[in-house]
Amino acid sequence: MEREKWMKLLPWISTPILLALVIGGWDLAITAFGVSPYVLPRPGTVAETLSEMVVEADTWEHIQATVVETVVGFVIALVLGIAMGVTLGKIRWLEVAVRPLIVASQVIPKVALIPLFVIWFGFGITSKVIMALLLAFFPIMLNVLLGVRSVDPGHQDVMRSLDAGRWQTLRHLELKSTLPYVFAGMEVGIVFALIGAIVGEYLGGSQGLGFLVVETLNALDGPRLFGVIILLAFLGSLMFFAINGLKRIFIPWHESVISAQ
Amino acid sequence: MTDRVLTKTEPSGAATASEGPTSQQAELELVGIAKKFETKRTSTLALTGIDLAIGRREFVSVIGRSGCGKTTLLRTLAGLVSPSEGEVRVQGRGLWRGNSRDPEVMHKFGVIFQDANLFPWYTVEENIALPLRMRGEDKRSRLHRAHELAELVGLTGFERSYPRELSGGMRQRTAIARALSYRPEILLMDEPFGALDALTRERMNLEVQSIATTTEATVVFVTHDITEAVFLADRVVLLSPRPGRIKSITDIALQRPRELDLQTTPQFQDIVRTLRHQLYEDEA
Repeated sequence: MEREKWMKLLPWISTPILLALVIGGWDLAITAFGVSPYVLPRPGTVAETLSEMVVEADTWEHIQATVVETVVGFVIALVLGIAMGVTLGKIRWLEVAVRPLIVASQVIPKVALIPLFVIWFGFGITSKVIMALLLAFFPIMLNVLLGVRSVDPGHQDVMRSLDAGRWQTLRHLELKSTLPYVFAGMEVGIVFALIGAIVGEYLGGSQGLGFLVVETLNALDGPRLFGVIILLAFLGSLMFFAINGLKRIFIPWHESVISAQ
Repeated sequence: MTDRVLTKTEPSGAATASEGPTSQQAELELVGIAKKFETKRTSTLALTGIDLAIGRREFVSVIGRSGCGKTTLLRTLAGLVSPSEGEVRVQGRGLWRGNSRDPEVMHKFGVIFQDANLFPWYTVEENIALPLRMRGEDKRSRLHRAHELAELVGLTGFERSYPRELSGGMRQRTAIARALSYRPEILLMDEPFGALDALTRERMNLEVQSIATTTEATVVFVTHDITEAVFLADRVVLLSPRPGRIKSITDIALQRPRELDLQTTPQFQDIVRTLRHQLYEDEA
């Protein structure tokens, strides 16, 4: 019990220490080797720039743009991913029929399609949403497909022995047992959606944190570039933990929630 | 069936004559049951020529070595697999009607599996009450019943726990309570204590005995443990493998309620020995 308590506390102690070590090493490397501030700004400078950035209204507009693209793309991917995952999971011949296509579309580096989307949908929000959607869709769909197929045969026996109807089996067994897989797909999907939105912004448009990265790069503004990257890291973590929080509400009984407590 | 060996064994302590329930209406009947499993290349005959009639409130144990078809027999009884030949009848009614099962017959069964198969997303009380929920009973009355059953199987205080928080024995008690929730007239148990340690198993055996008495249910209990089978049963059906068929039926005329100490009496051990010899005969 003592040991378990200690293990729970450990990340809260180790994370600040590790972070301090990284930042300290970063600062030390600059002063010791005389690295140019254009290549690597000092942590203090980055912190200063960041504190300036977060009070600028402009920064928040960019954040908002990226969040909207990511969330819209993710939500559409979630709906389509669940629908398609359930359909393919339930209808075996259909899954066999489209499997080569799914594998092929998995293998394509999807970010390579962005220029195409820019041609089709322009430099606005649409091409970014579609990129976010496309990246988030596959992990969600594949997880749901796996979930639908992974219903415990013993549980199915119980429902059959209780002469349960289709609807009852769906409600009390299949939906509940697939939910952890949906969340596993969502956790990967939200991070992928953010990547899709940012890479989309890299290549076109005038809004979003991805655009801000390119802009600061063109201005060779090292501290600002670092500032944007830190903002992106925060945004990614926030989104991941939002999904994680939902998981705790919806599947509190699940292994992945219990072991994380 | 010419190849069928059916011997009525009469070890000391067992009744001299097995009248069976044939004189009156049988609660549960297997008539000429055969079950063939077909795959692309092979066809396995799991059961053949099974005729068995079980009376109201009778406790029948089915024993046999692994792979002898005893689980298939129970699953056939429970309507989880359909027989290739023959018929399952409950209180004179056929279980199967073409490809579908008679729902009224199905509702008379309470099935308990080797694994508890509890739903991890439901608490103990929700698991126990699930069959009632599916039958449309309102929340108050079904939870009341769940608590009543939790008490019966010794789970008081754990109603709000999740299955993962329970020991193997407690999970199996929950599964028993779930099967009892809708007051089935027939309990079908498939090696329910196979995964439990010896001490827990002995306690569960005592509880099954008292549950069978209080609920007045007819019980078919499949096990590979001879002692357990003899201790619980009014009759022990011994299956021999490949293909699974009834080798013998033994009456156990020991008084009830039975205590664990009964297992050390010569009378009890005689029956166990005879059955064990019969099981080993198949090896030759």
